[in-house]
Amino acid sequence: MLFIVRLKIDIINNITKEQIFKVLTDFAYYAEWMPDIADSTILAQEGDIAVAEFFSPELMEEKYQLEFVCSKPDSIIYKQIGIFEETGKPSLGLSGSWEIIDSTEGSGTVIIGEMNFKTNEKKTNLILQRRLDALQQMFSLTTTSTQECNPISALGTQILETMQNEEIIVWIPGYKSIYKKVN
Amino acid sequence: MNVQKYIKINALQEYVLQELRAFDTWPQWWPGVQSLDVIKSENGLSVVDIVFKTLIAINATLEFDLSNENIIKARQIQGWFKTYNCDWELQQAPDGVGTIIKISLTVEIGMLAPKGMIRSQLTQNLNQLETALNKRLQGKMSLSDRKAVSPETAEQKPQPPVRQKGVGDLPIKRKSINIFQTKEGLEIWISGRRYIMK
Repeated sequence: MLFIVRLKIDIINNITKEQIFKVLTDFAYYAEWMPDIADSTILAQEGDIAVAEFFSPELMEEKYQLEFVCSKPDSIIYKQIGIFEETGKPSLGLSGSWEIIDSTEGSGTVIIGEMNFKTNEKKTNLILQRRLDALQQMFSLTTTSTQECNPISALGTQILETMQNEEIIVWIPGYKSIYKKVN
Repeated sequence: MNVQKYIKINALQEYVLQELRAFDTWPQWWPGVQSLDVIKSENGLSVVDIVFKTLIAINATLEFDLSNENIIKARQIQGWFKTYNCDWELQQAPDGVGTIIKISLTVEIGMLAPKGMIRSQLTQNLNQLETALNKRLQGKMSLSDRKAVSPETAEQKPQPPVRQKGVGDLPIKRKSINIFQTKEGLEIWISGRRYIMK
């Protein structure tokens, strides 16, 4: 059974559709801001079509590949590939879309996200909501701080592993910080 | 049924092609291939007898068309499948490091054949190919090879956004920690996993 989730957010700053489109089509860097994406790699790009591979452990156990069709600056449609499909039967893989439209209430932009996946509605709903929350955080920021620091210890294995990267970005409501490892 | 999958090999295209065209060596490094005998090879066409290693032995005689420099086309002449067609298209990875193989596989199997099992075995076979070929070609992508990517080719491809450079001029890949305030407490996402701090 497919569960279709459709959510939207309003971006009220002077952010253009093109700016939002640029972020949503920067597939290789989804792991830098999408909460559920641990890894993202672009595999192919030709014109308006791109293929990228993601690892989202809360969504799927294995890595998965998505094919994106981008219509600048209004919409991006994606569907999962790398899974066997039967002609004439609906795909059971992940699919969805992003729509970027001008707000009808004065200035601002509306982002509508849709996700369809053969999984429980609650998880798909949560992940899409958090992706939109992350977008909202990103476009509400007025400053970004960059600091050098030593890795923080004793916060759990996951944090320690994440901190082994050269740089990490921490998104907290209201601001974004980039931490660089001191060698 | 059909599948389209992309695999990334950390080696230059020429090395990948060389390895894929050496059909008789496949059983040595590709776990999904039990045995392979080259029957004939001339004028850009090769015919092989292949046994795929799955829960059941799948025998097929495949014809490989190597006339196109960057595409290997395979089709079954006779064998277990009703029809079998597979195209392997090689292209440079968008980040300029390594080779992408775009695999398009279409198969038809008999009515009584276990579709689910065959689907799962063929998928596993393709996954094994990526791991095995990367292992086989380890070391065929030195720093000097990466810098040898031609500037003309780099200009033709859409360039990724400029990011700060790290070691070896490769863009730094960052990880993120996202924190949200929720009714349940602080919701923290690290490496794609969700934690709640109450």
